[in-house]
Amino acid sequence: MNDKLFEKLLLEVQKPARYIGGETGSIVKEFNKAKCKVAFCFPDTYEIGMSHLGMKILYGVLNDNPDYLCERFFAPWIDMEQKMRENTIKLYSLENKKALSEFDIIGFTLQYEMSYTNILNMLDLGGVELLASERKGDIFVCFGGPCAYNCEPIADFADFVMLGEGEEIFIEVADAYTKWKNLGKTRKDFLETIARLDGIYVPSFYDVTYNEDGTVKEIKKNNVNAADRPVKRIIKDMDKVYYPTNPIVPFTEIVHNRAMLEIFRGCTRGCRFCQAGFIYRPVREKSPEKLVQQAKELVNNTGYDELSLTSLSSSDYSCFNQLADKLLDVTENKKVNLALPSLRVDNFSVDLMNRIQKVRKSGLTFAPEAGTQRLRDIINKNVTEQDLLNTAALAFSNGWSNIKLYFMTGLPFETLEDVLGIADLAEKVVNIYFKTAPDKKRRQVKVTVSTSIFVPKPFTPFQWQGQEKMDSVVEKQNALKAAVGKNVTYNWHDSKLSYLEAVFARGDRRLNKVMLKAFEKGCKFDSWDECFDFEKWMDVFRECDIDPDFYALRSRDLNEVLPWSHIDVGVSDAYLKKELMRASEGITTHDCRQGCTGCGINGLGGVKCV
Amino acid sequence: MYKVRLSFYKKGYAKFVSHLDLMRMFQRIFKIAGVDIAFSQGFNPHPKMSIAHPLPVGVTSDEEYLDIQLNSMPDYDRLVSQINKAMPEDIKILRAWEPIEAMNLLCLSKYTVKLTLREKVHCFEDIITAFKNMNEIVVSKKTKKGIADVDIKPWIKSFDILESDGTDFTVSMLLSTGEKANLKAFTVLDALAKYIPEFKLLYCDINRDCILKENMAKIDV
Repeated sequence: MNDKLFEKLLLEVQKPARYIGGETGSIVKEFNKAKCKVAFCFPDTYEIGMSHLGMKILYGVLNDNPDYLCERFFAPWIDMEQKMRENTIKLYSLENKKALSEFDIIGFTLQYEMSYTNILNMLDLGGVELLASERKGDIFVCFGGPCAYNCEPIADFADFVMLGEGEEIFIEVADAYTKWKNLGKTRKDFLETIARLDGIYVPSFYDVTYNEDGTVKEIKKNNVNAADRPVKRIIKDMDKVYYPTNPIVPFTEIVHNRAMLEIFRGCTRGCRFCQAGFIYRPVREKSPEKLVQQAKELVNNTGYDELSLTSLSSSDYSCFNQLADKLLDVTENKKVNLALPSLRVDNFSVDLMNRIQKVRKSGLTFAPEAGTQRLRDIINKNVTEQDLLNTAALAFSNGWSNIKLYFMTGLPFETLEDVLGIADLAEKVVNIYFKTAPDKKRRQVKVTVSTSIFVPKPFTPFQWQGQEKMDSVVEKQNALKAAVGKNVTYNWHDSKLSYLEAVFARGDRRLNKVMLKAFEKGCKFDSWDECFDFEKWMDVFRECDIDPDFYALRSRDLNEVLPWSHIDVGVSDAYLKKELMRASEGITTHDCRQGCTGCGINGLGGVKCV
Repeated sequence: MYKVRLSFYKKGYAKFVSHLDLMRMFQRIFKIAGVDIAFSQGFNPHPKMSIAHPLPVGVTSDEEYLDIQLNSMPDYDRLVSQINKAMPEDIKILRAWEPIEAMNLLCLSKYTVKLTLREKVHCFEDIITAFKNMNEIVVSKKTKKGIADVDIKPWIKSFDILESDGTDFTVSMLLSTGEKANLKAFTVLDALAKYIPEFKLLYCDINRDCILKENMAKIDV
């Protein structure tokens, strides 16, 4: 890279510090000595990617190994990309400033569907062939992360896919790569070798055929080395697995600029809309001793003034209050805040919150998800109105005055009544304030209601449900806008973005050409308001002769072959169907901690749920 | 309370780290290094630290000054090694000592600037001499009241060519720094481009060599 030219460009762009690397905790190894060079790519800006725990983990796991190196890549913001293209500077790593094309394994994490165009843009900027079928030599592109479980809409761009947790499998793949490179065999030979590993899916080893009505007819493997159904990998012992307690601390402000402590994986609640709740099963906790040790190391190594617990429903941890006490002992004398991002209304403890938020009584956030008990039962969000009102009363009488409530609209079986129930519930919370707050200044209470739009996701009981039509969702949003009281602030999500998300979340391989064309037309940073161009996307669908409604809106038959049916996440198809039936009848399913509900995850090799 | 003055360098890509980010980094590093820094009283306590004259983004420096206040008496050598263990490669502490003079005595910055021009210029020396002899050198400058035309000539204390080789030049500048008069090296380059048509800048590499008092001496020496 021409350093002088590069530095000149950095003087001309916004926030240059995100393009320089060299942060404390970053690891710069001798580039040419590594036997396998891994590029870890996050298809969004530095500020978002650096907030992601998975990247910190895999970066640490790979760099801990003396034979391998891992360097970071992020999507350059529009101004930087333009300068790079004008000056033919390839996308480079933050560590050794090497072009993406100089790496051996290029891994992209798929965190959300609307980041997919950035993957193509980054490959293009890095000088790497977009299509797996056109790649030559010894460079491989792989996908991982939650959306990798159904990455069929972008499967043509991946040589292979890692399913599940990457700490072990990534090293196994790097080992296989090193051996393969020494032998000088074909690309196919490498893919066949790793296809035999649990957790590896090679899309080109499977053929998909379609029925006349456009649904999938059959997904059949075409290579004996491939599994019939590739299965996800999980870490069995969370106390023994690597955890990054000396992570990179960025120079610049990023989205989540704090130390992160993962206390367990998985979730036992079984909310039927929540993909994370199914794909991250089973629940595996770290021991309190391990967590205290990791908390100490994080606080001592990073200098952050906040330590955040980052599991799905952190307060579900066994003996959570005792753990919180122990963690507070670590953080309090170091003037570090302990943050609890996900709170549940049914086990909220004021004592704990008072200890946690000693100085700032900032807002509390709860997610009832639906406005009526009927609908909360359908989605299996096992909280009641009384839980919320009790918690609100506790919070208000202890000095909080700012409560945020998250809901979804467009949920399966939802009626207008359910949506208007959101306004009622918010109003009840406001009334609780006037009843309970010790110091009732009328203007002080702030209740914020935010609604997102339900997107049906693979591997959930609602995977067969169609998304509600955009105009009908907008009607509901408008009705809610009109119904909320004057002490309530209402925010809502854009229906167009959620619609596209629904297309790609449950898409099949025929969407690859859509993705390619969208990239060619300049779609990128689709999750950013200033970049998202819905009309452009609609043009692309028309030009590709693909009907997006087929993917987003259509309710699927229970016997239909789903595009992701050849992937095994450990939760059985029968269980998801049973859960859908129960939803339609308004029957809830209890938390797995109160007894096994038989989802099938225990079959995933020797791990027993908590 | 114990006042401590630290000097540090900032080199390589770290020159793109802004002043605000640098201050936040120091706060975290002090925490990691176990530096017993004093906090201000009040509702929102913040660590007692201040930097002499913030370096603009894009400029490296051989020696910057940071004053901090500690609750306990420091061992200066240990302090330096503790902090440096936690510092990134491109920013390191040079020295720590008990300050004698006030930081606001510093009012001059000496820069070494490496320039690469797009095209070869004949008689670069003559051009620079003519530039220096102009009656006034007016540039648009951001001030507290907005953008205004300012004559920067009184703030250019010296401007010398150290090396010249084709399109590459190394110059030395001594410029006013501080609250009363503050002139960035970038602004001088803008002025050159404005007044001299042949001065077409391709690359520049600006380093602050030192910050000096009125009498050209370093602080506390």
